[in-house]
Amino acid sequence: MDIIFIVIIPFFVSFILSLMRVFRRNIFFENFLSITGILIPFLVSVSTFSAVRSGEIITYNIGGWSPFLGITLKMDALSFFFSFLSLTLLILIMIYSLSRSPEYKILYLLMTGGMQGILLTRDIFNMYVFFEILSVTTYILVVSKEKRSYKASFKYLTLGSIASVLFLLGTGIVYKTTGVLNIDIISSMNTPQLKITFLLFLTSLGIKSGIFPLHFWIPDAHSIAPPPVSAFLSGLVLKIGIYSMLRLFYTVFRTNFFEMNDVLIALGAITVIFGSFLALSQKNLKKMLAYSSINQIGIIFLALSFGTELGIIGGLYMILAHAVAKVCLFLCSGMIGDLNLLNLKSKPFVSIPFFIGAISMIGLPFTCGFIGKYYVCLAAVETSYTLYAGVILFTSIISAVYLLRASYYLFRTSEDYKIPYSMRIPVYITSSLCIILGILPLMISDIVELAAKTLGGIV
Amino acid sequence: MNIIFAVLFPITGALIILSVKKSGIYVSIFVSMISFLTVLSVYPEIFNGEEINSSIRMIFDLHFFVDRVNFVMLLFISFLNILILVYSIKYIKKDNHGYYPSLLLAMGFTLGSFLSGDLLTFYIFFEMTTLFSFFLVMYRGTERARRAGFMYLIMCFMGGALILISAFIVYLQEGNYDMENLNGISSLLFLLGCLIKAGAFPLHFWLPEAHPVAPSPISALLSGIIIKIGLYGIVRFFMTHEVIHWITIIAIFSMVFGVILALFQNDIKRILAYSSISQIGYVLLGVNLPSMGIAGGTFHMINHAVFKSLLFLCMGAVIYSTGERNLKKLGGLYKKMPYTAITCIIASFAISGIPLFNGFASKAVIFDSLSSNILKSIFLFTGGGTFALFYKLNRDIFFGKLPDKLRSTEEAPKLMLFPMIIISAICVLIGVFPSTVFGTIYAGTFNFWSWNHFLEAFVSVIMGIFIFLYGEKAGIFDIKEYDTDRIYRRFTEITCSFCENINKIVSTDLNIYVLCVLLFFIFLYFL
Amino acid sequence: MILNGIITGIILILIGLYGMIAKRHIFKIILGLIIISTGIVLFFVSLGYVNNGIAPIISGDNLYVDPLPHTLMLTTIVVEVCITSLALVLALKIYEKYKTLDIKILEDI
Repeated sequence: MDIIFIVIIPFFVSFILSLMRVFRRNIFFENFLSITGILIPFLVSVSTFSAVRSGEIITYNIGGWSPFLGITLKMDALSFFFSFLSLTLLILIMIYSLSRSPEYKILYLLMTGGMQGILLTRDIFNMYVFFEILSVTTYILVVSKEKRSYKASFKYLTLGSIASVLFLLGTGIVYKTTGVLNIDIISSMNTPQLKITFLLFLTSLGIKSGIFPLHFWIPDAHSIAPPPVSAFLSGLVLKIGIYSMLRLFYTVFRTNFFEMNDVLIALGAITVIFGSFLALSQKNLKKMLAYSSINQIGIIFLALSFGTELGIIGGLYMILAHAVAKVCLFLCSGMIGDLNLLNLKSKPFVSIPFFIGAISMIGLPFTCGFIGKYYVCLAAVETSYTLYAGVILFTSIISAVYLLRASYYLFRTSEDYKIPYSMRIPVYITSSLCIILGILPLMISDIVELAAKTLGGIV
Repeated sequence: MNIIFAVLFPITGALIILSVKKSGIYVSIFVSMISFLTVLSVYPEIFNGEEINSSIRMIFDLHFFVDRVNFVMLLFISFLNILILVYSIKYIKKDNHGYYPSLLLAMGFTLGSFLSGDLLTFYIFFEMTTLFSFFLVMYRGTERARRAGFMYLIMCFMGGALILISAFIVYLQEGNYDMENLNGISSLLFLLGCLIKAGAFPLHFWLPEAHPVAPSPISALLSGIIIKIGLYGIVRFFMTHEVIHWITIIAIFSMVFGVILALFQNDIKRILAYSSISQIGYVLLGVNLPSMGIAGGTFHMINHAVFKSLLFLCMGAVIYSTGERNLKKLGGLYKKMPYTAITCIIASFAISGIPLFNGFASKAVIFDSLSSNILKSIFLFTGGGTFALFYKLNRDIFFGKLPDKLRSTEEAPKLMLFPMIIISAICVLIGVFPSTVFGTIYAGTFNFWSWNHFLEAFVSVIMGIFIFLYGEKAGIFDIKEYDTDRIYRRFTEITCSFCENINKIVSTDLNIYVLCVLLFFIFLYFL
Repeated sequence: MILNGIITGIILILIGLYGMIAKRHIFKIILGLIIISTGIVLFFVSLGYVNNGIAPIISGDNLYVDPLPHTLMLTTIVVEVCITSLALVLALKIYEKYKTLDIKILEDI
């Protein structure tokens, strides 16, 4: 099947689901549809695996227009990595949240489509449109029964739309200077872009992914949203910002990016430090997890800014590790009654997955996080930024303190309650993924290295 | 059988226990026995002078390595593990905290770190041991235990981070993680990391907090075995490196301050923890000397594992029977708990280096390799201090007047006495036949029974008596302690207030956020 | 002409930003957002302008304006409508729950 189906099937199913609102609600059919809506793209994405692995780039021109005029979708190793990761986790989160309202599922599928669109498209403006689909749906999904969630959503909306405005402005200038919007064509022209364009994109994607002075929407939106929403916001939506950075900065803004390397690395380090200290000072579990996302994003950003192949590999592993572990942690947090850190109570079936997620976040050996930490620190030492390796390791100690504190409280007490299996299984799967990927990283090392090669580091 | 199974069995056991949700003591003992047998099964190869190398391919190689030196350590450690588990049957009465899984995981990863053949593997197992022993330290769940646990975690992870950076530096210089490639800055970082884990002097403050708060079998594991991970790293380092002078200074400070601070304590487990620091000093002093010294240091490290775990188990028995851990409130327990008293006295003799006990043998080797007279006299002084310390400990617990509260005290249960008796038998056996163990580590021969060594032990004892009498008279045993942990506490306070403040700063309103975005843009533009 | 359009667009964006930075009322913040997006649309449309160009129906060698920015702006306008309406809904909801739209009173927004 063509890769376009990865993008349109979720939209289509979401449309059918919204039509079904006219009739009486059939929960089984609705659940079936919403799972297949993500499963089919997942299978399509898997079916491209062997081709992608051999280094092939699968191209699809929408409407048969040439890349100069029309929109091109391309699946290379980097897109595959993100698309596969996000679809796997999205299915799990969907299973976790099957008991939610049909509106939730409609928006969720829309969001899935938008996300996949960003990952596949090679047209900057198209990327903007998909970004808007993603953002608008997440603005709505953040809203929960809680009163504060409206404020959080509004905050997210304001900052998010500033980000998209900046993105659009940047797109305009790129179009003005080059005359095309296709990323591949622009990068093959090999002309440095204006600094201001680069900064527009940096600020915009910085807001989307939560780099330090632009992170303000994250803690509220992530902590107040319902647990599955927090899970994909933190685990995936932030990573989409990072993906676009990777895609744009290593191609269109290559020269600008490498010129400002030092600044960006420092920015990443500041994000890491602030994120970890702020997480340390939180008293609410979900807020703590949200700040820890900022910390991790900082590490990822730092790793990608090194510009070397090792750095990119480290960043990709870190993205993988953080996505899986954070989804696991947030899904666990949905099974805990009181989220105040001192009153945490849970059953072993929550506390053990939480613990595994936590050690993966810290980056302890035999978890996926360690592979990421390993490569990132190696890249830091390699580019003789040993200080930054120190920063990463130091903040991983801080994250050890706050995450293990929470997980210690979870181990300490137990509470009696029933949780349906549809909610337990995703948690088990994500937590065992943390370990499996940590022990057998060779499973995915091919595709990660290939993805790093497609971008091409400094050397 | 492949040596890696010695590590894998305890871990698998822990996973089984976790999945069946039973207390799992028998599974634990079973897997630890298998792990011991696995270690034992490589004896013929090691005895023939072969070395065992095996590795697991992850993205990096996990490289395991056994030679004579760590074979002996592994043998002792895996055996002590079994005994500690047996001891726990009675000591841990009700367990709903996952005691056995975390104990098994800690034990398994500890074995792993003693098996590790390169820096990265060492780091990996080092971190994992820290993680699970952290849960063991916090097992009691009190406020004090929690503080101690986090102090332990932070310090040991700090050590781990230093080791990891040193490993990367080596990797980028040489393309592998071999320990012999450590040099300059990387060896400094590596040694610092190991010294933190080992609890050497200026970085020791977590040790007297963390070791005493845990239940006694855990203290035995921590003080007897887990701190040896750091020392193992240092031993491996010095097997391929020249003498480093500042290590000697650290060793001397650890020896002297450890024993002096121990003399000030009144909590029976804190005394042992401080005395560990002092004994670590001996090992450091030893391993930093050429050929024979390093064997002596290693030997002392093994001996310390044996008698320090015995001491902790004895104190555990005392606490189990009396419920009291203040030295001032104990006394006259000799009649009530004869076996505990005897084993404790054997352990005390061993640690103070009395002939025919294992401490004597290893101290003799280290003493013989010392060259300067200053070092010799410090060595003797510390030996004296140790003797005074354990004289004081035994006198206050087992002799003197029995307090009224303890009249109904009974001897500890047999299942607890059994491991203690076995370990004390080991102490005596090594003491009488030291060359069986020492011969495996050291190629040459060494005469343990020369007059010099008896004289050394004798001078130590005399000095110890003097120190004790002087201390008793001057009342220095009641001095309020002063330790380096103030720096750590100050640091944590600063961190907390810093966190609070930035938390206040960043939570403002939407206008400011938009302004931040604008300023961010402008700032970067003009940068 | 093209420059005028671009400059006016950027000025509009700056005005919008000023509104978002200086005004405490949620509705005014939303207005700021709308002004910014209007500025963007103006900016983009001016990019495609070619002096003396005609509508992009190709007939002969005539100069014609670049049609791409205009089509893109159609999408953007739709998106902006969507966002604005969502923002207004949220503002309504906030007013319903908190009885105020002043962000200084509504803490933590």
